[in-house]
Amino acid sequence: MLRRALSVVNLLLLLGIVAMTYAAVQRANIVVDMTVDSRFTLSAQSREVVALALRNGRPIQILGFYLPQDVIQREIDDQYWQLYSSLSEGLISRRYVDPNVEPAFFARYQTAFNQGIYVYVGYLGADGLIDQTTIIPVSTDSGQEEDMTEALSQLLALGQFVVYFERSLETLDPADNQQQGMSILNNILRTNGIVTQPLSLQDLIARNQEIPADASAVVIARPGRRMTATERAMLNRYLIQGGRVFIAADYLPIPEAFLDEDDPFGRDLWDNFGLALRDALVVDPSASGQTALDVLSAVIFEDSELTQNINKLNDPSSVTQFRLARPIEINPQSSVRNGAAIQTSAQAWGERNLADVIQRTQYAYDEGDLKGPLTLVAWAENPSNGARLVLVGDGDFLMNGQVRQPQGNATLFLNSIGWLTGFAQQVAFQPRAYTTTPILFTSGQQLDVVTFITLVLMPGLMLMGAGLAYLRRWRQ
Amino acid sequence: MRSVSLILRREMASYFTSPIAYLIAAGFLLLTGVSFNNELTFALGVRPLDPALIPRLLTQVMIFLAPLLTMRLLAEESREGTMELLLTAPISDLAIVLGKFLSAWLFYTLLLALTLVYQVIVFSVSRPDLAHVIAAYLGIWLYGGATLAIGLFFSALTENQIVAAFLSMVVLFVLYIGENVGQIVASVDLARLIFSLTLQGHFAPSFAVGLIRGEDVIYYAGVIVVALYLSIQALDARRLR
Repeated sequence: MLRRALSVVNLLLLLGIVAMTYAAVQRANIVVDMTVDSRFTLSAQSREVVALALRNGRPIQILGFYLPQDVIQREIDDQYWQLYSSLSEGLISRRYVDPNVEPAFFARYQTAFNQGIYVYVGYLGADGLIDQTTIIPVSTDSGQEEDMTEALSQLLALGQFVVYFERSLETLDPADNQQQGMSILNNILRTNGIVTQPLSLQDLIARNQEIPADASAVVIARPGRRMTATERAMLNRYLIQGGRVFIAADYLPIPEAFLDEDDPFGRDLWDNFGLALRDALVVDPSASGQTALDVLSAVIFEDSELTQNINKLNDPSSVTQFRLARPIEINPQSSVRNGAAIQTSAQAWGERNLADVIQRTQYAYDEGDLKGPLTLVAWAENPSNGARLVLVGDGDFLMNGQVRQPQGNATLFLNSIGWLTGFAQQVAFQPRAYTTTPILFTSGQQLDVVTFITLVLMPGLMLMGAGLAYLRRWRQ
Repeated sequence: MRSVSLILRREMASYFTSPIAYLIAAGFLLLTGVSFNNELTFALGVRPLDPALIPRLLTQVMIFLAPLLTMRLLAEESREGTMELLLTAPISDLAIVLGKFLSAWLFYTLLLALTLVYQVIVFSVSRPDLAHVIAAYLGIWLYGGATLAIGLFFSALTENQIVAAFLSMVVLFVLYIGENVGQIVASVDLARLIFSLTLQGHFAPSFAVGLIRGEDVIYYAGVIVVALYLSIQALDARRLR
């Protein structure tokens, strides 16, 4: 009896020692990251972001929603999130919410949760809860570290970037959520922590003011009229002072249209940036949508920040599509840096007989038309004053009805704003160079040899061993 | 120590003179081979092979393999009447249990080593993440040790090999399904607690993804130590009977 009691005590003692050792080691967080790309170790870039957060000093919370069935995902994610917590000495805290336990709190996140967004970062409010005005969703597009570092960068950049949407030139309305509005792109910018504001050149002139100094970029989306001389002078002054402008202009069959070949502002752009919109409509029989007038991004210049994630392999929705687009001429001898970002195919041409296209939808290549490939999107940068310009020969592509499908349209606009404002450089995460390579066999025969070794030879040898062992026993 | 080595050698000899051990190895290699070739087909030219492919598969295989390797270790001694001889010999219970456990673990290690042929093949046709492979193999080696220790305990508990194997399988299955425990409980905290007690809970989020965490090593070592202690107690109880 005493012996039995002693063994029970010993067992309990042993369990206690194991449990205590386990708890101590867990607390010490002894982890060896064995992955070749140090996936579970924060990169220099992430450490830099955490250092920025520490300098900022405002407490940040990582808020995650995990259901009981997502327990493995939570465990894996937590291994990353705790790296941010420990490096920031607790300034970045973690809070995990079980949607079943806190349904009221979860309610406002449910729609995003159903779309796969279940982690957020934001500044902590005085009440100890995450400040809803600063909340940034953490995407699940890349690895945990990439996604979290980008979200933290966006949080730290919150309010630093202000994009103004020009409204007095009869442009698209960023607040309009109808098909012809531009609310989707505006909302995406806001979700990413970029402040967006309307701006009226007309009002600024009336009040004798200039374009605000905090403008990270000005968007002129599908203007319906030409700028007056004073508006033009104001925009030029902004550009000379290193301003950043995004212009997406349609061909409009009206006299004195915005950036038609007679527009003085067109001459300014040619002189200062080496870019000009031509009075022609692009027809591309070999890279188009429903008709040859719905031109797709046949050629993209991959070294440009504007074309990131456009024309992705095996992703047809990543193309851009412009209807009734105008070609852009680029002056390679310009004094500034400039170039094309997206072009048509070589078979495209720029139809100069505009009346036939607009009134009768008729087009055919003839003499006087512009030969392809034609530039649809171009950029220019003046290194001496920092001015940047993105010019797109189509304005409709920004409308709510056009940015959902194909998704390349939205990507182009967001990339453009990212490049113009410098936001992309600040929040972009450089993926680490993965040094693993895919499986590659030089011949089918090589694969047959592998199958033979692994499925026939190795188990066969064991079966032979079994046979020999049986024979030996039988003989004995 | 000498007696441990004596029992270890005796058990290893019995493994290699028995056709059953070879048949188990053949089945084991066929199973892992099919899985390897299947994964190879999907990964061909597209991506590197999952470094934890075989270890992940073995977390399931061990539910059946561990009882097969351990069911006879002590139960057979009782059935064949050699247990009395063993218990009366000048060998401690600790040495018996440790010797038998180490023999099973060594045999399992040899089986595991055979699967390194797959890694050699992978290395000849790609550049995989070697350190991740090492972490995953270390994890499944410890995982295997824990399952074998549990199997040995049930073998010590009963004289019937089938009963020992069945009980081991049930326990190992319960300890495996921790991954899916969230499907049946409503609370994340409870799900996490149960998950942290399971064998899978200390493999899937760490070793399988290329991490070696101190707490996971302690967990498996703890399971082995406790299971071996219980086996010694079971053997001791039998000695008293």
